[in-house]
Amino acid sequence: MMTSRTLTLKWFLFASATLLVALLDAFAFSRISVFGFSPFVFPIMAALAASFEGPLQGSVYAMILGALCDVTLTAPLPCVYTVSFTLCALAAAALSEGVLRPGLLCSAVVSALSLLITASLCALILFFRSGADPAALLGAALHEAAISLPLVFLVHPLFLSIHKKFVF
Amino acid sequence: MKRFWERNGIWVLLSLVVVAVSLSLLTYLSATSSFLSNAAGVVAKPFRTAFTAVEQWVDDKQKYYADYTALEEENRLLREKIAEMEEAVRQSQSDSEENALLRELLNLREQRRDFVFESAFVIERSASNWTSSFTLGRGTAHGVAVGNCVVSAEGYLVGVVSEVGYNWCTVLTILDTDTQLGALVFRTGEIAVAGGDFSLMKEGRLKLSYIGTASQLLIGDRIVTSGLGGVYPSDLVIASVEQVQTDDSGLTQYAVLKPMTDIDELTEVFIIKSFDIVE
Repeated sequence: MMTSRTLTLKWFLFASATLLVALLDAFAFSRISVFGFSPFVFPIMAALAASFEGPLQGSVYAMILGALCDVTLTAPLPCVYTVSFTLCALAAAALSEGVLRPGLLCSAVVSALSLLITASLCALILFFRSGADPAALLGAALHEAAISLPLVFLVHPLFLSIHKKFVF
Repeated sequence: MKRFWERNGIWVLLSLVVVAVSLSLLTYLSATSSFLSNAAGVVAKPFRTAFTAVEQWVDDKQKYYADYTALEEENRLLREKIAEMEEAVRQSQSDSEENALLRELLNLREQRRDFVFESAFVIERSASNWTSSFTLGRGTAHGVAVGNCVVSAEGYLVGVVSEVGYNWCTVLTILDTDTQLGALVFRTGEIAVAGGDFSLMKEGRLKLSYIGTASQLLIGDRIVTSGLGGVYPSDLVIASVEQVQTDDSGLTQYAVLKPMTDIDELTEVFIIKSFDIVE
């Protein structure tokens, strides 16, 4: 049974890992452009945290991460990342507990799902708000998910190492 | 601890949802950004500035060692262009003097265009694939407000302030899908609407819509702000016409516009905080 001190330490380490990846994103990933699209790492972190830590703690983490993204990043609508990351976390937790065995494959699948959920939500907002071409929106969603997915090879070992430290 | 989460986890989750939705509503209702956004922007500003400064230094070093021949050719073309523009300036000076004389003879008011500018540096470019925006290091402390136009050093419109904090502001560029401006074809005086289109955004282009069926648009025509409604200044150059196309219905036309300046290369811009135009 985890004490409150251990729990605090665990989430402090997750927060530190998140900050590290966020700095890498600000300094490196956001400067990368593949066919005009940049990778987006934050949905992957929301999904993997929930995949390792379960639906409740993972959802809280995802919600806080989403809120921070909403206040620091430009999004089609305020609160979109808070909502989408929470949904991603719940979906990731459900998949990792019921369908897939935890591992790199599970992380890749839940990450792909969360990237598609986030991108689809942004695409839907733009479709209803500005009448953007659905084909262009779908293409953008797939592009973003495809170029962001390789970042799971960075986030997965980082989060897994923290998770393993606190498994009893 | 586990029992706490089992008993109260759902309430914690619901509380966080309520807080998130409340903050979003505050953002919508507030003339400036919400407290949390403002605070995050103020805290993040020095980091954004530092990152962009390092990026700019690296870019400058790369450009320093760029192809010398290409630079010589660009220099030659620019000299030719300067010579043409000097001739145009001489002609326009003569026209302006004649205009002033005629206005005096007809007893008309003196034309005036007064702008209050605030120079600002780009401290962060948005990497979002869904919007086109950048962040400047000026905010309410410098008199910047939502809706202020932002122009390049040459005076070309690059965007509109969409969110403002204490010492930062977010500018939605003219390529963003949320940007829609009353526009005027400079040559013909036709009224239209210039704004972002998602399909064109990634190509660095925007769209001119609501063109009349009898439109005589030509490639290269300058598109300027119309100034109708008094929200934005008139005669700010937005873009030039690159293509004229018929939409899927075949009934209406639209034009693909190329911005006058490369928005991704901007480092310093000018915010028009207020303007007074007398025609």
